[in-house]
This record gives sequence, C-alpha cells and structure tokens, in this order.
Amino acid sequence: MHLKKWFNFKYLYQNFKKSKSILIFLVCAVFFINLWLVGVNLLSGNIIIDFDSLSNISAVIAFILPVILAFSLFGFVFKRKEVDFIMSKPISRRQIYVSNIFGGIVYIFVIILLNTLGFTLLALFTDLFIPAGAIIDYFVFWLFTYIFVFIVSIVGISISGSRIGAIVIVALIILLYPCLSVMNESLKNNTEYKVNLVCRDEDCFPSTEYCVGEKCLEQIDNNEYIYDVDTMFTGVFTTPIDYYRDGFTNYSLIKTIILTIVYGVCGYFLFKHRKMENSDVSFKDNKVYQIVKLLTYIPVTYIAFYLWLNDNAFLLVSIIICIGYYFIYDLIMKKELKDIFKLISEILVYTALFVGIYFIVGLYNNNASKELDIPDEVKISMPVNNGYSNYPQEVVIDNKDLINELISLDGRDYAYQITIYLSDKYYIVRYITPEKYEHLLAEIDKKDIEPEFTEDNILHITSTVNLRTVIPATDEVKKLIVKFLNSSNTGSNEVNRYITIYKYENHELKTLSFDVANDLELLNYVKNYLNDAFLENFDGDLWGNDERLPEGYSIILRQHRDELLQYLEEHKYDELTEDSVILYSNLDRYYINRNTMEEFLMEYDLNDAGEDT
Amino acid sequence: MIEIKNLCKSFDGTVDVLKDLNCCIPDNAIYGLVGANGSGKSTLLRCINSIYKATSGEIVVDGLPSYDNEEIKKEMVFIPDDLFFYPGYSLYDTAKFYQSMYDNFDLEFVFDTARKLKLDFDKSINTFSKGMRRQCAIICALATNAKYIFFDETFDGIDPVVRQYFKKLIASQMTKKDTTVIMTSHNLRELEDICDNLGLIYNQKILFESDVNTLKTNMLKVQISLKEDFDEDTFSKLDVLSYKRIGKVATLIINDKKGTKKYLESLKPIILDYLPLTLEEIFIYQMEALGYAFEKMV
Repeated sequence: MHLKKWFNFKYLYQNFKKSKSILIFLVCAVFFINLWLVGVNLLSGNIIIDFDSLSNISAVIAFILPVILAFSLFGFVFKRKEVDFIMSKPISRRQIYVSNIFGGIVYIFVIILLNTLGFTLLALFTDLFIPAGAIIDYFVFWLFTYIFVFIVSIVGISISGSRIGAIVIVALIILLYPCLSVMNESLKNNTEYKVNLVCRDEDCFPSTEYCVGEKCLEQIDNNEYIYDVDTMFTGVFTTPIDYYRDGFTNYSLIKTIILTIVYGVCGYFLFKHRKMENSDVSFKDNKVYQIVKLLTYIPVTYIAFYLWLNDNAFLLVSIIICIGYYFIYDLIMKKELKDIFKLISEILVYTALFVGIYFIVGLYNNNASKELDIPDEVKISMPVNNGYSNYPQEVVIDNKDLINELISLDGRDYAYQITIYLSDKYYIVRYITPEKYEHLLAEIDKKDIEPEFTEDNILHITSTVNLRTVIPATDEVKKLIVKFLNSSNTGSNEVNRYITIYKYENHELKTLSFDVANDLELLNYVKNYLNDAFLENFDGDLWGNDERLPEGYSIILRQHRDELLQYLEEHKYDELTEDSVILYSNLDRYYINRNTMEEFLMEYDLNDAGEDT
Repeated sequence: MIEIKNLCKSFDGTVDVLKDLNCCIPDNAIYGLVGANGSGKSTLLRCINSIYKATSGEIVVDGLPSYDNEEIKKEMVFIPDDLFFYPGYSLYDTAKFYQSMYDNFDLEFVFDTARKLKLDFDKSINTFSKGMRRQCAIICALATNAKYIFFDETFDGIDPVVRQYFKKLIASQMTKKDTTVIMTSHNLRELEDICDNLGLIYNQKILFESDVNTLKTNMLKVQISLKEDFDEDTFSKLDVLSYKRIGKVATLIINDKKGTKKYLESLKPIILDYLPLTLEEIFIYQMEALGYAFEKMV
C-alpha cells in the first residue's frame, strides 16, 4: 500500500498551522488547569490522588476538546469558499480524511501525554501521592475516550452541513443511548414489577414467596431483591458516559476501540461521499433532517411525559415543551418556519407515537419477568473482616443446600449483607446472621480469601494522624506490615496510632487504616517518621495528653519547650513500650518512651505541676 | 486535454444544473466558458476540480478519470469567483501554503509579480481590497505552474490596467509552458482578446464551442453600397447570416466561402468595407443561425 495515497503530511501541517492558535491554547489551557486542579490538593492537605481526582477537568473537556479539534481540522466543509479552496488542491478526500484523523490522534496523544507527564512530575517532586497505575489509567482511558469523541465528531461533520447539525449528531451518538437507558430505568422505578424465581427444590423458597403451580412467585416491592430485570436499554452505554456512570470500573477499552474503529470506517465512507455543495445547511436531505429531528425529540417528549406522569398539573408545561422544542429546532436548523399546520400535525403524530411507546415500555417493564433456575454453583459477594475493616470478597460456593438456605433467608435486620449472583445479570441481596456468616466462612475455601495487602502491592504508607507524614514504603516496613496484618495481635482500637496503607488495584485506589500500637516493632519503625515530622513541623504549641501526668502538664511543657525539644531529639530512637506517652503539636504526634519522659520530668523537677507554675 | 462526457450534476436530486454536458478542452489553449448567471459555469469548473462529485458522466483529463485523483489535481489549480484566504494569512503565508501543495510552485514569481503590482507581502490578505485579493489569488495560481488553470469570473474587481497586465502574464505563461487556461465569464467582451477557444453554456449543456480564429476567419462583416438599388435578394448567392440596411448602406454578416469576396467585387460596389467582428457578434450570429436568440442567453 502506497502511504502517500493515504497520507499527506504537507496538508496536515498547513491544516494545523492555520488553526495553531486555538490548538495551542487548548493544549496549554488543559495542561495548566489539570495541574492546577490536582496541585491544589497540596494546599488543602489532600495529598492522596486517585484516578477520579486526575480526571476532573479531562472528564468535562472530553465533550469539548475533541469536538473543537474535529471542527478545526474538518470545519472547512461548512464554508463553501473554504470547500473550494481545499478541495481544489491536489489532495484526495481519502488523504484529507486519513491525514486529519492521524493528526487529530497525534494531537490528542500529545495533549494527554503532556498531562500525564505533568502528573508524573507532580508525583515525583511534590508531596502528592499519585499511584503510577492511576497515571497510566489516566493516559489510556482519556486517550481512547478523546479519540472516540474525536472520531464521532468527524462522523457528525460528514453527515451535516453545519456546525450545529454536526453537534446534534455527536450528541445523539454519544448521549441518546444513555438517555434511553436512563428513561427506561426511570420508567421501571415508577412501578412494582415481578420476577419469577424458579425453585426446583422446595428448600429454596424465599420466606416471603407464594407459589403458583410449580413456580415460586415473589412479589417484589422494592429493587433490593433482584435488581436487574430484562428491560430494553439496560447496561450498554457509550464511552465516555461509562465514566460518568461507574468510573473506570465499567469502562471497556475493547468496546471503546471497536466503536472507534466502526465509527472511523463509517466516517471515512461518509466523508468520501459527502456532497460538498451542502454547506451552511444543516441537513440538505429532508429525510435525514426528519430522522435527526425525531431522534432529538425522543428525550424532549420523555421529559414532558415524565412531568405529566408525576403531576397532571404539568400537562400544559409538557405541551409547551413539546411544541416549543419542535419549533425552536426548525428555527435553529433551518432558520425558518414553514407550513405551521404541517408542523403541528407532525408534533401531534410524533408526540402521540412516543408517548405510546413510553406507555408500552413502562408496561413491559412493569411486567418484566424472568424465570431463573437456581444454579448449582453461585458466586457470593460478602464482606470479609480482616481485623481492621470490612472489604468485599467474592467467593464461589457449590453446596446446593447452603445456596438454597441462603436464598430462603429474609432477615433484613441481620448484620451481614451478602449478594448471591444467580447469573451474570441477576442477583439477590440477602441478610444473614453472624452464625450463618461464620458458617458461610467455614464453607468457603480459605485459600480463596487472599490477604488484600501484600508486600508487592503496598505502594504508599501515611500516618492517619497526619496525612502529610509519609512513611517510606521500604521492603522492611512492608514486611513488618504484612506480618502484622497476618498476626492475631490486632485488637486495639487506639485511634491515635493508626497508619494507612495504599494500593492501586483494578483502577481503584484502595486503602487500609489500622492501629499498630500492639506491634511494638512496627510502632517503633513508624514512630520514627512521625516523630521526625513532629519535630520538623513543631511551631511551639505543645501539650501532652496522658492523664496520669500531673495536672497543668501542658503548661509546664510549654515553659520548657526548648529543653524538651532538645531532649526529644536526643531520645527519639528510644524503644517504645505499650504505655508510651504521646505529645501533641497541632496535627502531629510525638511518641516517647514513658521512662524517657519521666526522666525528663525528673531532670527538670516537673513532676509537681503546681510547684513549677 | 480535458474531455467531458455526458456530465450531469443535480442538487438535491431534483435541480439539474448540468445535463448531458459534453465538452472538449484542448491542450495549450485559453478556453473561455461563457453563459448567463446561474447557467452552471462554476458548477462545471467545480466538477472538473473534484470539488463536486458529478451525478453521472465522466471527466477525463489526459486520458485518466479525474475525480478525486490527487495525481491529476497536481496539474490543476482553481481560482473560484468567491475567494477564500485563511484568516490572518499574508500573501507570503498563502504562497507558502500553495508551495506545500504544488511541487513546481515558483515562489520567486510571486515575489516578482507582487513587487510589480505593489502588493504588501506581509499584510493580511483579508485586509486587501477585492481587486487586490483577486490579484493575490491569480499570482498564486500562475506560480503553481500547473498544466490546467481554472479561473472563475477571472478579472472580477480588477482595474483595466492590472487586467491587461494579467492577460499578458497569462499569455506569456502559455508561451513558456504547455498550459491550458479555462476562464469563465458572463461577459464575452472580457474574454474576447485573450481566449482562443470558446464554449457557450446554456440550458444545462455546452451549446456551442469553437476555435475563435476559425470563427473569425469563417465569417465576414461587410459594409456595402451599390450604385443601383438592391435588397437582401441581391446577395442570395452568398451564405448571409445577417442583413441590415440603413439608408443606402447595408451591413452583412456572411459565412466566408470560396468566391465570396470575388462575388461582392463583381457587384461593383460604391462602398465595400470588411469590418472586424467582435466575439459577441460572432456568437450572436452563430446562435441565431442555430435558432437561438442570443440576447436571452448571455
């Protein structure tokens, strides 16, 4: 394949050159706003940055920057004069399309890479903790999301003859399906609906069910029991809406790439056969115009329908919304209103059609039912306590009796909530007693429960007392932490002696905070860093909290501040005991061996606070 | 050579702008395309330059289909009636743009010509007057050294002095290189002294096209007065296209055939003058001979 047949660098260079101001502005604006938004966390003391924190501005700009970029590169098609100028040059449509796509992707790559490098620099040279995984995720997620929106914008440009028309197409491609899905969900939530749960074994009947024939029919009165039933538009979204719905967890890179390729190929053929004489007019072809208009009319009628459904008083408002939109759309797109009677009859027909569809969908959702066999093997998600906190753990059980027993439970007042997955799509939420929970734990193969944190995945350690205080995640301390987490010596709830450990897994920043007081080896290790931070940040205000110390202790310490600080500096590596003393200065804590502290008090004859003051 | 076969172009699938248009533009010629406003001249040029895709028919340039063929487009440059320059671009920037698009672009030619025409090289073209902008466009087009140069409403807005300068420049380009220039105008007089081929576009097709020299040599415009009384029948042996008589003097347009001049002399006229024919007259009489009223067309 001859590369020059597809790509013309000189044209691309010129195309970028003429748009350089806006494109350079966008690069700089996004870069600096991004860095500023992330960097401002430093000032607010929030030094832990996850993927969502990195994505603040990028998420908003995902709907703006790629569209502006596409308009900069392909916007000539909207001006007849510019069409003449560009299309008469020695370059084919194929070269224009491929060169601009390539250029746009490179531009997006550069903009995302710059931001990624900016975050990396922030992570390296400031106190911010930004996991490398989050930075990589940022790069991958937003690179492909921006490219997706860019390609979709080109499809819009290829179809429409005006900028506003192109934006409408882009909005339809990206937002219509999520919009339908939301509409569908809301129609479902308005109603009670039923689910048939087929129990072949009588033991599996939920306690609130009643049986009809062979089937156990349960009247569901809320969405907790089986949440997801067959509805028309559930679960499939278009990137980047996935991000807004579920963050990175519901994002599929493969789906994004496939959709990008599909739209890219469609865009190629649309652009290649685009009628360049169609500039300044949104949609020259009346059929296309009507289809686009109707698609945009769907959410409008739904909003009107929804208002009316909730309160009859809104009927007039609903009618005004429908008519107003229909007329305004024509005014914007065609800049004229022709044949008012025809428009009104169209409004009546289409509104009746859509409202009819909403009723049918609502009815369908009301009666949505699904027959499900209880599988022989189910996945259960349950909270597992590691001694410090609960975290969800998924386990698979194949004990049919236990499965039936769990399904039949209906004790919503019990402490433990579990989710039983009957299939990929359907699940049941059950509440179980502590005894049943233990029983369940006993049933589960212990090997399935991996300790959440290992020496390999601990990325960062901070003091919970003061997040500024970072304890370097050396092999030595990670070993101590894992040893401590796997020991049984974890009972204390002394809030002042917590540390937090971090890992980045499945695109999420996961944390675990725990007390290290009962592990003196670990506490000694940790306290060195906390004590250093205390001394470094010490601003003169000092007091103690130990109630066994004499009354007026804090005043005494303040009076002998300098002597104490020197003393603390000299003894900061003294071994701690379980009854060590904590000194406070603002957010910082200083951990000191009780004997050392008492020696200091003795030396300065401060045991009797009254005498000194 | 550009051959156009059965070209049709319709907008919205209903309005036929061009219909079964056939045309042949020879190499190294200046081809004038005339027609009324809205007759389809610009559309034809846009189809040839692959801006518009023809609804049907074929455009063959140097033996190859031209649509969206970048190799053929390298030999084509098009200056439309409604000019476009990138916002803020100077003549230099625009010339650099053309240079990046055309391999044989002559930047020196742009410098020289702009200097002669006193065009500011570094000032934004969009601040120029209409005529100056057209001058910039024509300079850039000629500097491409493309084989086919298309000008739509070529000299629109250019003053007569500069117009003559450009006509000479185009003519010298023709002599230096194997260039073909295709010009459109709704004004025949504008093309008269430069074109050597003419095509008249009317009713969605090329109604008439011919070599101007042949047209001119094939027709005679004669003012004649005879001693004896005479009328149109006196010249019945000749192929008279037009006969008008004012007083004793008649003006005839005659298809010049062998023996025409001898016959006229044999009538022993008191006055016998051979007058130069304008292109407009040639077209008028040819069209009238074909049964069309020329005034309605142009």
